[in-house]
Amino acid sequence: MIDPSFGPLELAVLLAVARLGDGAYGLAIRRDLAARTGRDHSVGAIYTTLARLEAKQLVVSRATDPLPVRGGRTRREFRLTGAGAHALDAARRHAASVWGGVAPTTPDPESA
Amino acid sequence: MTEPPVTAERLLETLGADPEFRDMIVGDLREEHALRLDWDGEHAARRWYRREALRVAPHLLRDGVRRLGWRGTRRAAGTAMTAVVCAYLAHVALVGIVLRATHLLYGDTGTTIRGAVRSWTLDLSRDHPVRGPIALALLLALTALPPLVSGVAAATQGDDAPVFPVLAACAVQLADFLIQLAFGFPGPTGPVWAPGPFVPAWVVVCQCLLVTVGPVVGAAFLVSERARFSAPRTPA
Repeated sequence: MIDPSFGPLELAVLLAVARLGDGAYGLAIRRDLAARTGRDHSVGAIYTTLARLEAKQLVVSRATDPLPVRGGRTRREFRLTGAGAHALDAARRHAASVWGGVAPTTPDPESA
Repeated sequence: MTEPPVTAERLLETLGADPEFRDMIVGDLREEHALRLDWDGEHAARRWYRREALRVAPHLLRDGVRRLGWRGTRRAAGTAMTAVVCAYLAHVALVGIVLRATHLLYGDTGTTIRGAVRSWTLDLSRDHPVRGPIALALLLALTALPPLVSGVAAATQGDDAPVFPVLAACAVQLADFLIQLAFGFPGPTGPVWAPGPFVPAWVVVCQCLLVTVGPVVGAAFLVSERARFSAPRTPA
């Protein structure tokens, strides 16, 4: 049985993997999170979280060929599994349920 | 010069993390460093790399602890213990040299390096003959010796995580310092200048055990672990 429970950073990383598709790797995820949340997570935190998600079987990874720009190191790209997609859907439903019935209390700054 | 800072990269390689996990992180840092070279210039890119290396170090260290487990901890402790004992021996030799020099210069007023250092740093007595920069330099050299020796010893064994013996040696040094801070510093003439009580017997016994049993235990660890590290690695 796969445990679908995850913390805020795990959820954010899982969402980033879903958004980035096949091009999801540590640096791309970090940039995506920085652009959306304004928080500059360390690469170590991102990969530790990815390792946890992989252990929970919510993502799978594969290594690319060695790249010169990485000093001959490979890049590990992550992809959402079926269980990961189900977990995201469950998280979305849970959030919608929690927020249900609460109207915005301040005007949306982007529509103003 | 477009390479990232070598020292920072070497630091990340000494933390004992799984090589695959480490390469993912170092590869990302290199990739971002290459981009920042174009965006921000070399100086800012290198500064960014060093800062990020410090930020990811705890993650690599934690992975290293998990990966090395009890066996790695034992190996680190053995190397560190040998280094601490080496430092004690160096201490004895240096104390002898300084005492001899002191006696030649100031007459026979028995003391120890620790007593001299304490008198200088804590201002307990103005009467000690060894004071000032010499005592401080000796203290710094003796304090830095075990971590340095243990790191070098581990690296020459082919250890992929030499930072662990260094940390273990630092821990032993800190414990030794705290014990002496709490119970006073022993010396040939007795710690008349020390604020605490006379050094209790068990502290002396522990220090004697460390100096006598330490080399045997440390050497045994090193020999047993050396065989493992010198064995050719079988391909996965």
